[in-house]
Amino acid sequence: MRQRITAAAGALALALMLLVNFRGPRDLALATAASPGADPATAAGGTSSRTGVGNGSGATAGSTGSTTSGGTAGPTGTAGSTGKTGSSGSSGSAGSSGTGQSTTGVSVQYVGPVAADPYGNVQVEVTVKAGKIVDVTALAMPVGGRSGSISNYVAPILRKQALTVQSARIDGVSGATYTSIAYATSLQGALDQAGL
Amino acid sequence: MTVAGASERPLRDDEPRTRPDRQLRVEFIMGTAITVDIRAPFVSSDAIDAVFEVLRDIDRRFSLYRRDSELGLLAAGALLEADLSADVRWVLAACDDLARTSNGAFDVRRHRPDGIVDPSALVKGWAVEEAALRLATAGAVNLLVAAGGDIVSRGEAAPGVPWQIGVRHPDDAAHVAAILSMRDNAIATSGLYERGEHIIDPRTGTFPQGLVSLTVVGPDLAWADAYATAGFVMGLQGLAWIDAHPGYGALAITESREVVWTPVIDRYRVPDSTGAHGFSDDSHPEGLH
Repeated sequence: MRQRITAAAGALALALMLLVNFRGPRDLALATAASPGADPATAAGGTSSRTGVGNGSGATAGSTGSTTSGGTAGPTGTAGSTGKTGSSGSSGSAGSSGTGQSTTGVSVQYVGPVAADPYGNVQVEVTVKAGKIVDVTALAMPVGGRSGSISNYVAPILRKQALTVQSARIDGVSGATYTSIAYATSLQGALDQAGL
Repeated sequence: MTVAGASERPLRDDEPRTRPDRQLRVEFIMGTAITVDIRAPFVSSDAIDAVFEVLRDIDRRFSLYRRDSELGLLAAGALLEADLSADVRWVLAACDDLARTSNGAFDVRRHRPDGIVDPSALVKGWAVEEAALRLATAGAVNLLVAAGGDIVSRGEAAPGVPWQIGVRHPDDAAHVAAILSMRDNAIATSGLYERGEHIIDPRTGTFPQGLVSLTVVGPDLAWADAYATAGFVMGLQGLAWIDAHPGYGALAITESREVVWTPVIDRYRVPDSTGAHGFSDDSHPEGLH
């Protein structure tokens, strides 16, 4: 099996790698990795078990369309995603006792515990639909930021553009990610509640 | 809506979406998701296993979340710096060098409120470079290794098609604010939007102002990552500071929601593909004001 991912990592990657569908998500390599379509039964089981990357990604993308992105950039209907369409052998196979998650089309939120971090408290909410994680949201993150005026210093070498949403085929996303153990702890708590 | 090199036609809904064209693996190490994405020629599964084992080993030695790691023992006072392994001492020495050249904007000995020596900003990038190097040694030519949002790319995504890396939109994790097209480069981003004010100015103990995120592109991820942290602390001045490092470029998103970048970025930046939105100063490179 050439393509393997860790199911738990896939679930965490959904949140941590900040990857959602862009236009042409079939080429979003990291979104494939972040696919929550991996067998949810293994999601809480640690990082040892791996499963086929293609599992259920198509179905996943279909459900993520209703979650974080909503997509100002991506038109609806781009939710093809990577992975085999309809190959969701893992779909609904969790055999877990979660409530409501077997009902197709119904999203259920599970809130993780507040976990402490050197910089503050972290709390995570997962949204489960049809036995799959379709969204991970940070309810609480350490705060303390302050806004201030930008320095008037500007180097003449710099170039600028108004901030816009870009869309194109991409292979990965660079962004400051939240790497705290506290995040993982709260996420795991939410997954436990969800029975995943 | 295409970008340079994106020539594949869209898949129909009923077409299979298996990807025989890549080796993809994700594992959760160092507190983040590590992705390995290899395009042909492929390597053995054992080779990828070995790379992840290297990363786990680095985590065992460097993680501050492990009391028994070298840095954990150092933080607890149970180990002296002279007793650290050569790798750890090298990392700390590199960080100390950068503390000097950045006039203290990057200082792994002073940037945490608890006073713990924390070189994570450089360690992660260095670890990913190690992973990429070992994959290349195993025969991979076209590869991408990502640790969270820090990425090393080698070769190309497909014959004639560079890797396309998005820079996260600061207000919307689902979208990107810029796209960089690159071969053989590293990219790292520091910012506040996800880590919750994780970056503190070591010189003042306060939170940096001016930028929401700072992305650095360059030949080595360890330095790109560290420069991104240092440059973020410096604010807009950080772009000029990074520009002074040969081969490295910076792209910042400011608090007033402008995208600002150094000339090196022009080599990689894909022009705004949304067209109708916003404006572009591309034809007026004279500066901000």
